[in-house]
Order: sequence, then structure tokens, then C-alpha cells
Amino acid sequence: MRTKCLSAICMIFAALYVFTLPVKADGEVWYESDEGYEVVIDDKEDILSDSEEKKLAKLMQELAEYGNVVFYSTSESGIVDEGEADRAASYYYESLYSSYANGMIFVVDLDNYHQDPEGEGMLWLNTYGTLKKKIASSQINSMIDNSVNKYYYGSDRYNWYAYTEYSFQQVLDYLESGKISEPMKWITNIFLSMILAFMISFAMVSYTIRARKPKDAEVLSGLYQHFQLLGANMILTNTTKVYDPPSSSGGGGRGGGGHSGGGGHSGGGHRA
Amino acid sequence: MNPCPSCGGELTFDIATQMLKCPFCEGVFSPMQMAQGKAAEEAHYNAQTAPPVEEGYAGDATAVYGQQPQMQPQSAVQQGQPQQQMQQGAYAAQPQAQAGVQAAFQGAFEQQPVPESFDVIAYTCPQCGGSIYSTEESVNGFCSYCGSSLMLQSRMAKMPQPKKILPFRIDKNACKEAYKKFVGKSFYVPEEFKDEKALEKFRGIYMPYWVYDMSLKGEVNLKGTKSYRRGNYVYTEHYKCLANVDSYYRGLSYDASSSFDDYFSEGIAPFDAHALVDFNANYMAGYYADMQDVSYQVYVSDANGFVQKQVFDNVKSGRCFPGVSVDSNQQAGISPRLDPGSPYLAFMPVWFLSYRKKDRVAYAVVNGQTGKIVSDLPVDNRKFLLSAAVFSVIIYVVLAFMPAMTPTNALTIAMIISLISVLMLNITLGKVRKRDQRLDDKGFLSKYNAAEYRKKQVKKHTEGGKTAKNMVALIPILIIFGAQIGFSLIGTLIMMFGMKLMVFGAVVAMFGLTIFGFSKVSAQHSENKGAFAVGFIFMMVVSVYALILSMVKPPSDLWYYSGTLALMIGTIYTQLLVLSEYNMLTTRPLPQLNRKGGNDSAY
Repeated sequence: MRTKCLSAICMIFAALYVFTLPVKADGEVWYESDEGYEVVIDDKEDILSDSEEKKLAKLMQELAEYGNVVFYSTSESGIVDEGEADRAASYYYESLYSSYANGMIFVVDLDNYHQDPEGEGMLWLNTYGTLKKKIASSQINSMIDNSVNKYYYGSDRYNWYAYTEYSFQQVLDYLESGKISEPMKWITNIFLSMILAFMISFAMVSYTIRARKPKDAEVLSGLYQHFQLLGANMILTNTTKVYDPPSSSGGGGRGGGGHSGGGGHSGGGHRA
Repeated sequence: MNPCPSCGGELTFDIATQMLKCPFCEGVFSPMQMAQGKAAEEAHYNAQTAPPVEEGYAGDATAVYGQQPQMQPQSAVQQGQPQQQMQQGAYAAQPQAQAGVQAAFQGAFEQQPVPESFDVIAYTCPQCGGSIYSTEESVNGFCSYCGSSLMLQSRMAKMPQPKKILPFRIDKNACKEAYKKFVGKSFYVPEEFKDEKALEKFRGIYMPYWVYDMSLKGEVNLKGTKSYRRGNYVYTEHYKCLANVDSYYRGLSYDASSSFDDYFSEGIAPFDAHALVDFNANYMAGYYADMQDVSYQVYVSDANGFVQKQVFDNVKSGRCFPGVSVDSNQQAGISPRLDPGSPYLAFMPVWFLSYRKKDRVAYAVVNGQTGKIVSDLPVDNRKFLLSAAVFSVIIYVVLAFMPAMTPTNALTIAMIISLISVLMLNITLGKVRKRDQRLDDKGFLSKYNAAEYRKKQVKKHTEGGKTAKNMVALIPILIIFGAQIGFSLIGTLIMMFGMKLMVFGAVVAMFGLTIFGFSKVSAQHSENKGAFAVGFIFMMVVSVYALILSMVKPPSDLWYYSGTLALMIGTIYTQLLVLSEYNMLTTRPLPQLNRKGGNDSAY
């Protein structure tokens, strides 16, 4: 009886807590960390079930230790390429926070998918603030690539939750361990290093085998030589003139001091 | 044979003392004094016992010399120009510069005495036909041209006597030490090149050279300009630059043996003409010589071009005509002349070594006066692969710290690298063809490939013409404008089509290169055709695959990576082909000289 009461009280408090959390844009804030970082899920396309949202929120909660974590699904931005995806992600994140605020946003854009049921969606992840420095664009690319390679050809081809969950999981793993799975990077690097090594070796061989022809000065030093020029005379034959006003673009004053940018983000994504 | 006046032992030329030395009694004799003492004796001996001479040469010296005027272009005098003008030389820019030089040469040869010949023993390789000559009988266990260890066949012969000789200054030990140091700098050289036993085969050979004495005396008349700005106008003053030049350049030397590749003679140049002495066969004691078989005419344009350049550089240096910029396309109009008695033959000292491996041979040549070295340096495959493996590990570690490439970027980069690799293979194949057929060796071409030689001569004359010079002046402008237009166009296209266009361009280039490369292979390779065919076809197929990927844009990265890896595997295969070609480039086919000695076309 006491246990049931306690559970009921907890649930009431939990419900109160959830209901008192602010609603950002159209997204729902699922969690707020002690540092003030938030977990926001804005599933406009309703691609996640309730249970998936809960599971995702739990995972995102762990990431909230490092910054704001936003999930956003949309089909409004008319994403046709990676630049569009990047802009859509930045626009949404910056509508919630400053671009200096630590955090990340994962965008699933289904514009193409809605136009063609066999079409592809676009997955995109941006990081901001200190997370931008911790996770570079190339690493984000690798994470999203891994997600796509894992699910694209399986039964989870259109399981957007799977892509999202795996991507966030990789971000978390990377932030905790500093490791990321990049098998193709290592494989291509093996071949690339071999090729470059061959080319460097050839350059070295070429350098050692070349025969150097003597310079004129060397040849002259071995000759009996004499040169004298007498009675040099210049006769002016004619003069031509060409209209060529001095350029006005030159010069200019010293520029004033600038400031270093602090905003910006790292980002990467993939069609899926 | 130079018997020692004291003990009768065989004298040899001692490089350290520059004297004839007897190895038995250690008597030392001046080569010149020995020659004077022997002269009367030899004249009597030659008259009584004329040796069997080589076919095509006996008596040819005079006969061929006699043909000389017929081989010359018409002289300026014959064209009706006054003799006085020819002597003073009107050096104003004139289109007939080349004819003028030829005329100058003819004038010189008309005064040149017919060279005497002297008795030598010819040692001929039964395998390649190459011959070396000596004034004495000696045991010859190997051929310097093809590296064969077959016993050389000897016979008596006559050789045109050079006017001058430059005695050896570097002895064999110094030569070997210098060469060891030289090959020691290259990690990739096979160990056999450092083998002491192999270095013992360095052979001292006097190579025949044509020596040109050229002078330029008279008025030069060149055009020059001086520019300055005044307000909104740039003024250019055009000048006629007149001056009297008094100059000479004596001792320019070019090798006169077709068996001595220009690659080596240019590489070990120059010889110091100040050290030339009158020829005396005693300087050859203990050494060998090669026969002159290349006409003096072959290097006329080279000697002429060198002097033109020196005179022109001096004139336009600014000291003569301050502030005036002399138009650079007038160099061809300067006409130096050959001094009387020139060109003449001279023997230059060369240490020569050959390494033979199967049907290829590599040469090492050391200037016997200065010690300058030029050598074919093949690559030891094992060492090369070891070095590549070490570099590979270093690069791999460096790449590990670099961000991963996106799959599309990886594919594009792989495509570009593979293209570079195929280009390298093409360039190497072209070089091998040039080297094997000795297309850069004017002396050889003039003797054995007249058609190619004529083609080169025509090309050279055209290039030296005014039109070609003007075109050369236009090149920088064309490059700047071309680059601007090209970059704008490429930038626009890449913005429009991105990777697709780049890969498409690379594929087109790849097709061109593979077809071009395979045609080269077909022309020159008989054994490795299969390997090259596999390489070229594979590269074409995978580049098409890359193009399809760039157009279809499959969502899975695995497709891109498969294309990238295929391209990289093809690239590594191509690099291995480049390596095999490199060893063709650093060796030469076995020579097939088969010459009879003497000189059918030199005079």
C-alpha cells in the first residue's frame, strides 16, 4: 500500500515536472540538465512512436550532459542537397538557442520521401559551441554514414528512429571514449598511403638518376674566350605612345581591426 | 707498343706524373720526347709493312676529305657576296644566319689540312660489333659497350689522327672512389653497382670529340626599346643598337662517336680546353680510344647556338646599352664564324664501365679530367618496395590523424590519383622509347637514323626561326589568358555539375592516356604487352565505373568505397608497371654497332 502511494506520488511529481517544462518552438522539452542543457524533440512528421520518443529522449538525456540535444523531423525545407539540410538544421537550432550555445541537432527531412514513397530522406547532424570543436564535420559524416550503411539495405530501410538512435548513440560513444568506427577510412588510408609512398619513392629515384647538364658558366670556364664591345651607339628611330592611365584601384588605407567569429558549427549528413 | 729505352719493357702513361713510365725499371720519359725519337723510325716501318686496314677506310681519309666541298651548302662567296664582307662579317639580324655559319665552316675546311692517320689495333666484340682501339696489344676480356665477356677479336686498323688530346688527369683508383661515393648516395641502386670487382672493369677510353673555335668580329645591329610613363601615356622609344663586337669562344667540344650517347657526353661536360695538348699517340699508352664516325656538321647548330647566346647575353646585359631592353628574338640573327683550322678532332679522356643484366646494359661514365660522373642507375626492386613500405607506414600514421574523407571525395581523389599514375606510366614509356631508340642522340641519329635526324634538324631550324621566337614570346601571355579563361570555365562547370564533371573529365583523360600509352607499348614491348593490357583495360573499366557512380549517386557509401578501392588497386598496379619501366629507362638495349671503323660520312 505504501509502495503504491509512493509510486503514485512520484508519477504525479513526474507528470507535474513534464507539464511545467516549457515548449520550445513546436518542440517539446523532455529534460533539462543541471547545467541548463535541454533535450528537445520536435517530431513534425510524426515518424516516431510514443515509445520511440521516450527511448530516444532517454538516450538524448545522456547527451545533455554535454549540451542541448535537439531532434527535428520536417518536410518543409524542400531539402535537395546537403547545403539545404545544413541551413534547415541551423535555422531550427538557432531559433532555440544561440549558435554559441553548446549543443547538437539531428534533422530528418522527408521532403523527397513524401514526394516519392520509394524516395530518400535526408539525415543531418550539426554541432555547436564546444561540441563543434569536439566533433568535427568529418566525424559527423562518418557517424551518419555508419547509420545509413547499417540500415539502408535491411528491413529498417525507412525506420527513421533506427537511424536517429544509432547516430546519437555514436555521438555519445565518441564523447565518452573518443572513438568512432571508421572502417572505410582505415581501408582507404592503407591504399592511399601505399600509392603516395610509391610516388614519393619515384620522386626520390628520379632525383638521384638525373644527369645534370653543365651551366653556361661552367662551359665558358673551360674555353678560351674573349668578348669586347666597342663603339656602342644607340640611334633613336621612332617613339610610340599608348594611352594608359594609372590604375585607381591601388593603395588604400590600413584596415581597422576585426573580430574573430565564435559561432558556426560542424555538420554532416547523408541521404537515407 | 712503347718499349722502354732502358729495359725494353712496355711503357704506360702515368697519370700522376703525366709521363710515360716503365713498370719494370721505373724509368720515366716524356711522351713528347719519346714521340720525336720514334717518328723517323715509324715512318720507315709504316712504309715497309703496311698493315691490313679496315674495309671502307683505307685511303678514304683523303677521298672523303676531298668530298667535303660537295657536302657544304653554297658559300656566301658563291652567292655573290663580296669576300671582304664575309671576312668582316655583317652581323646584323639576317634570316640567312644558318647559311652564313655553314659558309663560315666551309671556308674553314677549305684551309684545313687533311688529317693524318695512325696505326692502331682494333678490338671488336663478336657479339655487339662495338670496337675499341689501342696502340698496343693487350688482353681484352670484356666488351665495354655490351658488357660481354667474350674475347674481343683484334686486327690492325687505321684511325684518323686527332689534332689534340687531353691526357687523363683522374686515375682509375680515384675514378673508382668517386664512383663508389656517387652510387653510395643512392639507396635504390643494386648492390652489384657497388661491387669492387665490377668497378675493376672501368676502362680508360679516349673519346673523339669535335672541337669548335668560333669568333664574332664586326658590327651588331639590334633593335631595342626603352619605355617610360608621362601622365596618362606610356612612351616607347625604339632604338637601333649598333656596336662593334670583338669576341671568340675557342674549345667548344662535342662528341664525335655514335657509340657514345649524347646523354653521357652532355652529362660529363665540360672538358677544359686549356689542358689540350698536341696529339701524341704516347698519351694512349695503356688506354683505349674510340673511332670518330660522326660528322662535324652534326653539332654546328649547337656550337653556333651557344656562341649566339653568349654574345647576345653580353650585348643585352645592360652595360652596353643602358636602359634599353634588347628584343630577345634577335639572337638567331647573330652569326658567329668558325676559326680557320677548326673544327678539329681531339681525344678526351673518359672512364667507361658497363653492367650487363640479361638483354639490357647500364653504363657508368666518368670524365677523366674533372671526375664528373654520369651513370645509369637502375632501381633494385626489393629496395624500392622496402622504401615504399617505410614511407607507407609513415603516411598511414599521418593520415590516421586526418579527418576521414567523405566517400564522394574519396572517389574523386582516387580518380585524380589514378589519372596521375597513368600519366606517369605514359611519360615513362615515352622516355624509354626515346632512350632505347636514342632519339635524343644527334650523333647516333646522324649515323644510323637519317630520317629522324633530318626531322630533328628541320624542327630545330624552324624553332630557331623568327616566327618560333615570336611564338615563344607569346607563350606567357597565352598561358595567363588561357589560365584565366580555363579556371573560370572549370569553376563554373564544377559549380554546376560538381563531382560528376570532374570525374567525367578524368575519365575522358584516362581513356586518352590509356589508348596513347598502349599504342606506345605495342610499338616497343614484346614481352610485357599482356601486363600492360591488363593495367590499361582495368583502369579504363574502373574509371567508367567511377563515372557511373558519380552520375547515379547510390545512397550507400559502400558503392563509392568499392569504386575508390578499385581505382586504388589499379593505381598500385600501374605504379608497379612504372617501376618496371623505370628499370628499362635506367638501362639500355644491347648495342648493335657492327661498324667497320673509319668514317664514311664524317668528311
